Amino acid sequence: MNPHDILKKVICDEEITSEQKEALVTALESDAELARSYIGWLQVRSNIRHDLPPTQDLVLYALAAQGHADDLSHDEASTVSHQWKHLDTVISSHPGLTTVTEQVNLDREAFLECWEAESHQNIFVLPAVMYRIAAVIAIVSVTLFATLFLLTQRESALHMVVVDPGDYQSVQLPDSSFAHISGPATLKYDDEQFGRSVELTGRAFFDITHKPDQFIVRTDEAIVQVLGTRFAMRSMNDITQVILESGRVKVASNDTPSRSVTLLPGQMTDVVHGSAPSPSTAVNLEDELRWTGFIFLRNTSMRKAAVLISNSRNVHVDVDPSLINETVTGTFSPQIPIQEILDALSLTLNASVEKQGDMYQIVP
Amino acid sequence: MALNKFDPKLVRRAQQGERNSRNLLLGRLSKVFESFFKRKLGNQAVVDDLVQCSLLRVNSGLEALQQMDKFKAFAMKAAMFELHDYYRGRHSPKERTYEPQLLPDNKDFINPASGDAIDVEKALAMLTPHARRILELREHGYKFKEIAEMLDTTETAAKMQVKRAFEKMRTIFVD
Repeated sequence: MNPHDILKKVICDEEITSEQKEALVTALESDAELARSYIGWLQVRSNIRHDLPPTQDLVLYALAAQGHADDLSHDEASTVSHQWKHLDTVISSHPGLTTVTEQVNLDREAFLECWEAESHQNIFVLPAVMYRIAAVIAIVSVTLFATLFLLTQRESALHMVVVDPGDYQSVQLPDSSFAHISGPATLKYDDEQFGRSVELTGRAFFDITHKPDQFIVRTDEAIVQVLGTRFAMRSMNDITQVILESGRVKVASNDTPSRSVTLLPGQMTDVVHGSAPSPSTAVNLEDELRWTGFIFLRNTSMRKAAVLISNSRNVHVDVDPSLINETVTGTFSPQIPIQEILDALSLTLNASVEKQGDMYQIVP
Repeated sequence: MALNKFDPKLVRRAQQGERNSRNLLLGRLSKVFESFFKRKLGNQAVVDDLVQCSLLRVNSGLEALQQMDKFKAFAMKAAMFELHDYYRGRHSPKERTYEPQLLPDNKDFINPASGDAIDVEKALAMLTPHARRILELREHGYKFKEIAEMLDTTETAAKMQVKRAFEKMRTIFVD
């Protein structure tokens, strides 16, 4: 295939082989006409893209123009009204954009159909003319009612916790375990038939209460099974990362559940979508888990502990020179007040805490 | 007998910050979003991303919602904004989520002798309305298969239009 034909495949998003790609790149370096064709093509695309209005404006215009102005809020209606003339001119002079506005309204119809299908729970009421029908049918009816009732109840027990970007939320699960979630993230679980199982997208630090039944966390890529432990999970961009703080966890890929990795405290593994977990590697919890908002100290010098605490709580902690090489161990959740953290550390050092304004000083 | 899962009272309680109501509302809404995005796109990983983004958009915008009975329109717009943002992102140089094999966007590797100005407006003027429609839909982010469905034609026919348009415009590009 000649480079010109390969280029035509490229502009139509068709697959080309690596040999064809190499041949095309070589030809573009040596064939000025071919190169100008490609540059011209890129410039045409760029020119078209430059004319496209922002998606939000396009969607709102499309809804209003097709008779659904009621869907717009007062502010949106006002914004669109101010831009109407401009949008109308742009869209009517671009046949593709006219098609997009029609498509927006087809999408709207599709959404409303999904909404109707999901938003009403139908409960069948048996007609009253069944007096002569055998008791068997009555039993079946009662069973049907009971099933529907239970299904209704079960649906209402499904919980989804959504945490916005930059926000933090601590959730107590039905078995008294905790999920400390850092947004953007979602956590899903069944509140009534909990079964010690949750689904996570985003980042969370789990503090799992020890029980005979295993606790399971699922992400798009991985499944983590534990009994009682504390660990962090981060699931985004087709990768799940698991870091263990204490206890023991088993991490497997959703695609190859038989190939699992068991983590020990201070170890981590990554599960890339479609692949087995990576071999466990040692990590520095103090640094790797900073995003959780927890303060992890593991035989940490007081010099470093003071820095970690100061950064985490936005205060200034000063340590007497005679104590800076002393080491401390502990884990402090974001809910623990700064004074309690420093009191606990001072107790282990046989020291005391002095507060002057925003500054804390640990002295012998 | 029917139970409205998006009762305005539930929306109001969620808006007022009652955590259980908000979680229940978003949990129910996630099913609508999932059903909608599956119907539009199919790919489960993409569907999951769009469901999450739409829920975040609803969650962060809920406080500003003034009429509880407009929650349906509010949720619909959230889904629509996310869907069309996703389309736009497919072909954007910053976030190329679809085009698998394209050449580098920087033109440094191209013959320097080819750098004279190209009359893009003249080239665009050569396009038929049909070809221009296809190119604009492509730049909005639709795949050729989706464009073909919208225009009630075949994917091959849509691509053929683009190839012909390219051939026409070449006379301007190399002039």
